[in-house]
Amino acid sequence: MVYVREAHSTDGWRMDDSGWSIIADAQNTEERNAAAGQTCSMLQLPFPIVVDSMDDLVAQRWSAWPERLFVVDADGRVVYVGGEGPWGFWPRQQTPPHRWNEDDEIDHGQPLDTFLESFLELQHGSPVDGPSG
Amino acid sequence: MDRFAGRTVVNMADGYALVEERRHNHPVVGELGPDFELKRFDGIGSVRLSSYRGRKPVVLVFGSLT
Repeated sequence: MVYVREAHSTDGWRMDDSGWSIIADAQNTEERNAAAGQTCSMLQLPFPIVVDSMDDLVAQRWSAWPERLFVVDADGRVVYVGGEGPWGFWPRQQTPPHRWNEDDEIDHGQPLDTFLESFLELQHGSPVDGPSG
Repeated sequence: MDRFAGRTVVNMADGYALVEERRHNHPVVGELGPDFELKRFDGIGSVRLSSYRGRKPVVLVFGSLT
């Protein structure tokens, strides 16, 4: 995971009805590290988490704010580009992404697990991992 | 570096403007993923994306707690 700038911090674009506006936006690396650690703990994330710089360079380059999924193959090439979050953030087919309303026509893209199923078949069962440090 | 870099997203207008500004800047399928090296939150070293080349695919999850 690449931990980026908060989407709905308590001191920014707060969204109390989401239940997730529970921390302020980090003002320095130490605070962002702490937020990432809190995320890892609360969500029991099984993969390593790295933290974007405070000038948000990596999130900018990947157009990844507020949340986004990508898959990069073993040659370093992008093979999956998830939709823009939240509407396009779709890791599992069984849990469709957030919808603006019932009638929205936003292209939510393809769920990540559906993509990985066919991708891994082509890769003959090669393991997929996040950053392992 | 765009105008939102390094600052808190303060309201809905900010958020939507940020997404719109970066909408077409993402890496595309077939392109080499922009390399980066970032530190782990727990201080246990850092990770460089290109270190996985020739080894295994990588799933990148970008996000935050909120």
